[in-house]
Amino acid sequence: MKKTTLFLALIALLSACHDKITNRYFTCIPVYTDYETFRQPVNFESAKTISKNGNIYIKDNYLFVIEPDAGIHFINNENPSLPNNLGFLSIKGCTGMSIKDNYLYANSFIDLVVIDITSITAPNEVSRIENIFPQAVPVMEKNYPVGMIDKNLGVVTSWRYEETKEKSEPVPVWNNCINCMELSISSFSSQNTTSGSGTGTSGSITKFTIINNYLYVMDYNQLKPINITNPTAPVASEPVSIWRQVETLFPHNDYIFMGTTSGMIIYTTVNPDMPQYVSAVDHMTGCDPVVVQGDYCYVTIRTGNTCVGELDQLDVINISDINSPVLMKSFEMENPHGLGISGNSLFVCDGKDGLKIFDATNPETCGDNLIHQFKDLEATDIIPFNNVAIVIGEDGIYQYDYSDLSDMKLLSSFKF
Amino acid sequence: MKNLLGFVFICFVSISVSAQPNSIVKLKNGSEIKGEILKNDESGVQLKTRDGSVWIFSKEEVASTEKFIPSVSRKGFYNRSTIGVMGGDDFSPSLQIVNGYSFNSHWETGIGIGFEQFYWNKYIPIFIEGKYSLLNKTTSPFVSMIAGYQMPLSNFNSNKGGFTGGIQLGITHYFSNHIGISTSAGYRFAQLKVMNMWWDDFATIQQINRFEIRVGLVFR
Repeated sequence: MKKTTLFLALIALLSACHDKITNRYFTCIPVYTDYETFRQPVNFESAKTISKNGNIYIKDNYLFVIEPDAGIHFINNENPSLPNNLGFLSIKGCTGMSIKDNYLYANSFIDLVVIDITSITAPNEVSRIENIFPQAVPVMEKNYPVGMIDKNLGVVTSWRYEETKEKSEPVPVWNNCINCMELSISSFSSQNTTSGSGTGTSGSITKFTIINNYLYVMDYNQLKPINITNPTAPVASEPVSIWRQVETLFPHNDYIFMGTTSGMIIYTTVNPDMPQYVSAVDHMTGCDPVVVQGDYCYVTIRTGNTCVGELDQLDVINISDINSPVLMKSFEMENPHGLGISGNSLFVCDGKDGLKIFDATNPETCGDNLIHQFKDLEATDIIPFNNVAIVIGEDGIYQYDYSDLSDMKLLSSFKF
Repeated sequence: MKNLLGFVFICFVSISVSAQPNSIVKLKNGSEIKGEILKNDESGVQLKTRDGSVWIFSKEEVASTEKFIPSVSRKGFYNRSTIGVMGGDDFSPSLQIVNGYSFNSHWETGIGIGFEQFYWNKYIPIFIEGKYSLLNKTTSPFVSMIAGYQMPLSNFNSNKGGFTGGIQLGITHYFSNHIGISTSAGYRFAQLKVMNMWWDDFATIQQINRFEIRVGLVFR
């Protein structure tokens, strides 16, 4: 009897022990600003400390630094050794910009705003195309699922992160969070590009570019041409769907070179309202900014958080026949981000390997001709222009005099 | 698993029975010989020692025959090697080796390492153990507690391991001065974190609740 009781007690104990399996994740819950408040004209405020790594842009003697989702820092860079932070143009949701003549074009979440910068210290909004980027959302620091967005409540201008715990199974399952929506983390971001008279120069990581009288903006998988002949009344054309995931735009003559996760593609803007596909060079999956000079374009391909794949390299592509570009050579890199070219010097921001400068006199051997390397500078993007290299990295913005490539001198820096 | 446990249990019992010197013969010349008494009558005493030798003593040589009681050291280092199974929603095998120090006949503490598996993930538990024996005898009930970390054995990027702890009630029986057998039953808990790639910071937390049965050998 005692043995039976003991056995039954043992069975009861065994069956009483249950595991508890829980999924714990975070959800981005949208925080709204009503349309009227959101569309108040942009403000120019007193100078602020640059606190985040955003896109950089130069025009004439001015350097513009985007503070992602917040606005643009205006810096007088007439003397690169002593840059003067003039002020901060507050633009909600700004992540990309471009300038032609005295007009600055920037995204403001779902809208495109045009700002007259004739007076650099008193810019004023002159026009706005509403709802041209309907899918735009605030930058997400992490790749979290997104709560359902109700556009009747206004524009999503920030996120509230909410922790969720829910029951799961020993073999983890996740049946999507309740009231979540499908949304790509990919949004605007920027690099260096210039084309046409009166435009500025961007870093190589940008989704904004201007060719002649058209602004082209990459919005998810759609290239949006905007006629800016009259900056006070810009006109958006029908978007062109791109079948790849485009990350960067680079203008060259009448062509747009697009860096995508699966290769470089070229579109012509002979018909500016409707850019048309010309050719492509495929590569394995990875993130890849592009710069072009003469008959060659240079593409860096990297791995990373949102850049899956296994490639970290610099590709040199011959585009003398624009209809049939040919990959000439690939050079192994550490984790290349942005790049820039000036004369015969190719600048590559190579992750933890720092900033590398190559001699590109012969483009097809440039990767073998390292002139100089700044190992202690984790650079992400660069604009080399008029012997001054403006470099943005994880911890600040640095300006170098590269008139003597073997002895580049630090002129100034902004620390984040 | 059940077959394996049965085999190991039989081995332990065999070792304990075969190795046990259950008597001691004290001679008048002062010698003491341990072994199993085969015969004890008017003609004398026959004793089989552990090496298989059979000793024959006449009645005149023998001072006394007594039951052998191991004299287990109360202080010193010990090793306890056990195997077990944890039951509940899933059955998990467990191997643990604890090396420690006995402060007296009741208290001892040690550091353990082992091998365990929860669902498809294998772990190396690294833990400290505290143990209290109720009696100062060769057979004594005990209560022990462990606390430590389950270190994943593979998939380090996603499997972060986690805390483990438990309590055991059992019995240790010493059948010689240096070797004993230990059996116990108790409760084990573990909180294990497995990251997955669906989203950033997406974790699956496994709170493991198991009933645990162990058997093993103690060396000191």
